[in-house]
Amino acid sequence: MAVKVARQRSTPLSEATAEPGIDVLIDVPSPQQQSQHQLQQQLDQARTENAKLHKINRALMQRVESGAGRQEGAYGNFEHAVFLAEQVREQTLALNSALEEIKQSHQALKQANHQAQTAHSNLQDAIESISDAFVLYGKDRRLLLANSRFKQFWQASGVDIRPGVHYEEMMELAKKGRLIERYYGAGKGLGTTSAPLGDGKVFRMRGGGWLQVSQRKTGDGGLVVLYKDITSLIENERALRERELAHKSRVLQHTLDNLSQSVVLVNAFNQLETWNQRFCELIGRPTKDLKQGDSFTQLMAGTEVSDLNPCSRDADGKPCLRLEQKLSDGRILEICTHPLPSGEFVNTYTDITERSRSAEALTQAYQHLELRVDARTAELTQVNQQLLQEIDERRMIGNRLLEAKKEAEQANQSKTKFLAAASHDLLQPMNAARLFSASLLEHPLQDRTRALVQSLNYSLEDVESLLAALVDISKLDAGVVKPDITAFNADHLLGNLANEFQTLAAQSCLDFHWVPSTAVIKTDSQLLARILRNFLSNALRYTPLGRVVLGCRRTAAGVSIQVWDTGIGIALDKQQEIFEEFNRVQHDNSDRDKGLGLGLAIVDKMSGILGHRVSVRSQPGVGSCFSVLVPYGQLDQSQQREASSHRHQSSYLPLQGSRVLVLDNEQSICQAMQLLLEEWGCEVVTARSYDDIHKQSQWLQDLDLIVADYHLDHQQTGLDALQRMATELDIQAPVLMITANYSNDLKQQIRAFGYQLMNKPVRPAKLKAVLQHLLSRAVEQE
Amino acid sequence: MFATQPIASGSPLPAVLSSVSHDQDVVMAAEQLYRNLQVQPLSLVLFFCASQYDLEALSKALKARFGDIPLVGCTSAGEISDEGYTQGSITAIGFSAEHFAIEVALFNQLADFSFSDAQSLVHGMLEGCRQKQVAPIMGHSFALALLDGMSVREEQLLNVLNAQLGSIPLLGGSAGDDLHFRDTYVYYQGQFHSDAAILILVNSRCRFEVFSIDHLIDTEDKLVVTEADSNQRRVIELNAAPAAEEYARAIGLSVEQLDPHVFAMHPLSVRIGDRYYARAIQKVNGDLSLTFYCAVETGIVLTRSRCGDLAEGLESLFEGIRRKIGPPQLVIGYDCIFRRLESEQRALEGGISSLLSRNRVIGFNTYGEQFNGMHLNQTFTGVALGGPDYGS
Repeated sequence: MAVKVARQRSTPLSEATAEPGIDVLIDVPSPQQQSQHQLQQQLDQARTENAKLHKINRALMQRVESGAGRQEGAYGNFEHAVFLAEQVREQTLALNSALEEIKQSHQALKQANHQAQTAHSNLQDAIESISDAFVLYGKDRRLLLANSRFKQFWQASGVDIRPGVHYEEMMELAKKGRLIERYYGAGKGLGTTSAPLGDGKVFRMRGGGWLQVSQRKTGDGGLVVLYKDITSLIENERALRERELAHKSRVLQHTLDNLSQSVVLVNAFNQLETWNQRFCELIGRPTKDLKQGDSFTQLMAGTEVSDLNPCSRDADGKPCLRLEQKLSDGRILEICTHPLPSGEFVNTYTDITERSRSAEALTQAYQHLELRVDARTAELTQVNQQLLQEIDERRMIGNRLLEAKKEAEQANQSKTKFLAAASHDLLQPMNAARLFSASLLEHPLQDRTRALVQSLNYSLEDVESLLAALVDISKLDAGVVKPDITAFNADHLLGNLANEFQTLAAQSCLDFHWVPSTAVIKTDSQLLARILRNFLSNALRYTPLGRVVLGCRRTAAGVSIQVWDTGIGIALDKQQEIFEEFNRVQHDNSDRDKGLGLGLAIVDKMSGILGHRVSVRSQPGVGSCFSVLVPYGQLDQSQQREASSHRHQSSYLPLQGSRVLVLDNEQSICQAMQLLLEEWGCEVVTARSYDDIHKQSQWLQDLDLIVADYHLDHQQTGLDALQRMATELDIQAPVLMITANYSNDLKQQIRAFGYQLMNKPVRPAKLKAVLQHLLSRAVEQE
Repeated sequence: MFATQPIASGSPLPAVLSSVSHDQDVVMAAEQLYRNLQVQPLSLVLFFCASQYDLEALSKALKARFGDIPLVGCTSAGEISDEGYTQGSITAIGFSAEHFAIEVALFNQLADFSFSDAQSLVHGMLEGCRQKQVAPIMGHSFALALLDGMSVREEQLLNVLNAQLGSIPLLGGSAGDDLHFRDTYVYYQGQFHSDAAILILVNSRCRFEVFSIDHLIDTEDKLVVTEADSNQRRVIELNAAPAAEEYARAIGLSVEQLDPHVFAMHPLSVRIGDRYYARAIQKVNGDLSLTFYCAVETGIVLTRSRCGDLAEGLESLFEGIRRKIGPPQLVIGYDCIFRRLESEQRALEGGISSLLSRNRVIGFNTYGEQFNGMHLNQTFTGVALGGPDYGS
């Protein structure tokens, strides 16, 4: 094998010392330049090379053949040392890794040991902590582990427990030592050795304790046996049961003793078992004499109480379980015997004395009761008949009462009719008369004539007033006046009144003041007007000089409408009297002093009907104040509108040139009216019925006013006529309806039509005012 | 001077101390060394001195100063102290009596040395150590050897010693003489000896780790020793040509250029098994034969090697040591002179020096190292002493 030597041609030493290398890298000269010399050189070189290689070869071979294991020379030592070192190194490595592994496994072992140790000690602790005796046998049934309780148990019998003891040995020991007295298992005797102490079995120890055994096979075929000391448990149970029994028997005895019956329990051998206190008393023996086991028959033989028992037979030979016996002391005894399935029997002795007596009494009472019932029935029948009679009587009375009521009503109705008729019939001519006289006054007259006519007028006026007052009083007394309550502005009424009395007051040279008010009141305007008129006329009458004031005062209770005067006044003691009928204050007779004294009486009655309080305050010589308390009212929408519109209106248009239709069935009235109205400057057309109107229809165009009477002939009413007028003839105008009818219904009706209403008798002045009012209202509405 | 601190807490005194003196006055030097080391009872002082010292005077001064304290040492081709590579100095290590039980023996008359002599000596040493042991002998002992580098009997001696010591690691260095190759001595019991070896058996309760590293990388170039004088460690022919010539040619230099630096830079190694072991050349002889520092024989195959990275090798060595025993208190290091020459040649001396200093290496530059019975060249061999791990 050739040994290569790499050369470095970088610094060649000299060309002379040509490298005797093996790889001869010589520039191959061209064949021409190759000379013999050079070839020779090359040959020499090759030879030297060869020799060298030979030498090298020999040295190497020598070395190889002599073996590398020579140790004599220094180099051999060196080689040896190297080999050794190498071996040592390898072995050390191996050793180290082995050591490492051993260390690790040692560690693991230690840990495992430690764990096993811990587990074992845990196990030991665990089994020690069990309150039962614990023993573990291995697969070979040799004792492996036992807790101290187990050992103690055996120690007590002088046996030392060591691990390795066989299960069988233990059993032998137990038997020999006669430790077990008795056991309660599956009924097997103590002799069997196969599994005498099996699972759950209980056995009693010689020492008197009780143990319960539980067995369990372990995973590797071993056996764990637990012995639980249940002595205390058993004893507790026992004690409990005994206590219960004692308790029960106490309770039983109590119950027995508290029975009102005497009870005795006799056993199958005819001996006393149980009895109660009453039984002792019954048979007349003290309690301590009786003992359990005494012969019952003997006992009973010593008393008068029958010896009833399940063997007793009655007269017919049938078993007798119940017997009643009367004792010498009068008590009645009910004896019952109750045989029990076990051959025993229970006897009960009940004192039924009371019961018998009660039964007796009951029978008697029953008999009495029947008699009483009969008697009572008779009474009742009688009473019934009486009642029926009474009922009949009452019925008859009722009928009579009904009749009487009917008569009264009829009488009432007659009276009303009469009054109505009277008022109408009386007043009509009066009305006419007045109208005539009034129209007379309108004529130009001589002074004397005028004075006469004036007087006539006054007289008529007075008569009219008187009559009206009388009629009013009658009506009021009859109770036919029904108030028609509406809400309206106070000023509405007061204004009119003020107007009326203004002139009258002036005539008497009195100052008249009217204080306006915005109050709204709720009352019957007509009646109130009457009241106020009375106040005002009285005021004028009884005030010689000074002033009269009409006004309202608002109070919490209502509007107090007051009439003040500076008149003669009324003494306190007379202030009540003046409201009585036909009562008048002394006054000098003047022209104008006419009156029946009915005014305030009427006021009183009217105010009563309305429910308004009338009061008077007066000081003689200074003046008086009459007031009436009227409740507040609230206007509804339409009225309010009307009221506001009314407020604007302050003027009363004259009647001059107005065309008026007068509709009245009384010719005289028509005439009178016509005259009066014509005096006032009106153009008047009269009619007495609808037909009349119809006939004169062409003259009834452009009517300004209609004055109509309600009652017309042939059962026609003014309203009907006006209706027909409006629909058939298309004649419409503001209407003033005049009637003597005061009824509410009529008022409503008329109001519904929007007509004005005035009651007869009609005062001319008022008539005028109202007509003027109507006219101006109509004008305004246009 | 630095006093190494022991790793074990609670022990105020260090296990090992080191000191260096550059003083050429032997008395002053001895004084300095003594002062630095004598802080606690010592079981041994080990020193390495430059051969330029007046050895007679030095030995007297040392004996006078250190008195009864056991003192061993050797001459060196250069020293390693706490400053790193030094020259012309004395560097010393003190072993505390508390942590070290040390037995020392001298082997002289190496020429006549026999197996049985070694045996009895070593046994005696072991016995002596056992009696004053501070830790079990097994696993807690190592042996240091100082050999006369010019002696040619190193391998044989080592063989014998190694066999006797068994599992106790044996390492050591061959004394040098600043490359004069004349006066290498070992010091024992107040005297410098030549043609001798000192064996130091150290039983310690400190952890230690022995090591030996080299940094050579082999190449494909082979030189067969075709003729050699084993007794004199002389290779006469390489590849059937004069050794020096062949070597020079192989490394591309002239024979005149061959000097220790060249030898250091272009090492030869022999392959045994899988590993290469450096064979260091000492000098070129007149007949163009090469004298080696170690055993040679006809027929062995030398491989031309090249040097790897010195610093890297040292770094990884110290890293490994630290991993095994923690940061060492002190490293007794036998550094082949060739490594130092190489570092000088490559201007790495400063870096290597500081590296050695950092890792607390105290030692000297050898003409050869011993490790586990092997006589090696061009290695850095030694033992790192760690903290106490037994009984403290």
